[in-house]
Amino acid sequence: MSRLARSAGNRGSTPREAKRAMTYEVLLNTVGWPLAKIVVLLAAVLTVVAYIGWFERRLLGLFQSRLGPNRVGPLGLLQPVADGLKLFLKEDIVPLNARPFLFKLAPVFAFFPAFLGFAVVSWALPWATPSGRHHGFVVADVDLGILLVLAVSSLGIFGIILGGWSSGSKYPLMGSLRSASQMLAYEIPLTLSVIAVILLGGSFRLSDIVAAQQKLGAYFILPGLLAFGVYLISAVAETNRVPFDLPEGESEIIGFHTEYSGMRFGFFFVAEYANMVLISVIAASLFLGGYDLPGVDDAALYAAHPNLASALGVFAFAAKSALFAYFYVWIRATFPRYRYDQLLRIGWVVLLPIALANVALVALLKLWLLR
Amino acid sequence: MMAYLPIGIFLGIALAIVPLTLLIGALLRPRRFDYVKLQPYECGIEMRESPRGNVSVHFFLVAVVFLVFDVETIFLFPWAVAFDRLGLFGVVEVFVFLALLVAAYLYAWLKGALRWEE
Repeated sequence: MSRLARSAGNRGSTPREAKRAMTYEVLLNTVGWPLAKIVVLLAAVLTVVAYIGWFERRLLGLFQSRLGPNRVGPLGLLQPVADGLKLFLKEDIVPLNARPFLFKLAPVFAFFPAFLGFAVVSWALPWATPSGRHHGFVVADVDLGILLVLAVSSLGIFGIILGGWSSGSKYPLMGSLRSASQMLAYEIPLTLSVIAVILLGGSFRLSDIVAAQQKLGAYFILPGLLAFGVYLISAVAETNRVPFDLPEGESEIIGFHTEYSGMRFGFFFVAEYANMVLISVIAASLFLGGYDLPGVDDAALYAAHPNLASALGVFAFAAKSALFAYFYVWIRATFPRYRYDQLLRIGWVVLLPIALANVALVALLKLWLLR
Repeated sequence: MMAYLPIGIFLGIALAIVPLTLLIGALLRPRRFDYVKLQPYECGIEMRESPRGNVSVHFFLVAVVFLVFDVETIFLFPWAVAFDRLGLFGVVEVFVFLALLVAAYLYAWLKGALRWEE
């Protein structure tokens, strides 16, 4: 009776009410906000992935003195929607010779590693709300950031191997073996070039690496120029793009997803472009200072106008990543495809020693800087 | 550990997207059984032997060499992060480690594990 009176008279002050308010607060902070961020992030990434295909085809058109897709909607902007719908509505074919379970599992394994890495990317300095709280522009700014990206993105190989093997057809099997050994060969130079950046930045956390570049006053592309070159080349090979597009040469080579059609093929396709976006974003944060505004004192700007600094940071980050996306298309329009033995030789005999030597070089540089 | 919870949620959503999309698509797309359509791709020729046969040994060599260097990078990660605290001692240690690795690399090279021409 007395408790009822108390809770009616003074809401929220009883221990029970306070506890409920606190669990609500905790739930909001641990699940609610991350969930909202994840939904926004996934929507943004999927949109970018859809339109990077349009961007690529339009640019290739310009490079080759053609128009590119310009019929569906203004400037062909509805082309990705039309393509997506077509794949979505196509019949789902599982060949009789395939192992159905693994065949259906493979696109999942190709898809999720390409997206999970985005969770640890810091997009800008935290957004300050009027109530004095700060919301980071990141789903989870964990201390293992870049390591998680590397670990998860190499899981994509499982999608390729499973897809090729379970198809029950010899060309996909050969294609998947080729792609897998290509990805293995280039994963090591890629990892070593990232290690050089970790040496310079002193942390796995992507926001720390950006902060280290701001503190140094120079982006890591300068002290890590070799690492940057190795990263760029290996990144192109890791995402199976021209001139390393042996897994899926559009004109003649039969790749690991030959037996896939409709939306299942669509997921492999989306995963490839998402990987390309992810690797561009990571390159922008590791080598080009991420959300740092070039030529501006970010700390001072953030102290004066925190939200302006955050918003501009997102744009700076997007612009830097777009540079890499443009670079991808540019080399696709420029270079012919490598032969398979050339591809593996570049990975093992050229890039790997350079990357190893670069790690030693950067270690010496860091030692000299520390002194 | 709580910092990783959002990644877990993200993983759940990313895993669910593929089956959910296919499930929704199943309501809209056609389904017509055709024996010939479901044959493996062979440019129109009938398949004669199982595709899951022997595989060139080069792929195994690549995998083994990859394993060596991948394990090596795992050792380099903690060193790279703790570089400031380890200082000169750490650099010397890692250089010895890298020298051993280069020896292994040269061995693999001389044995022809990195050649694909023939």
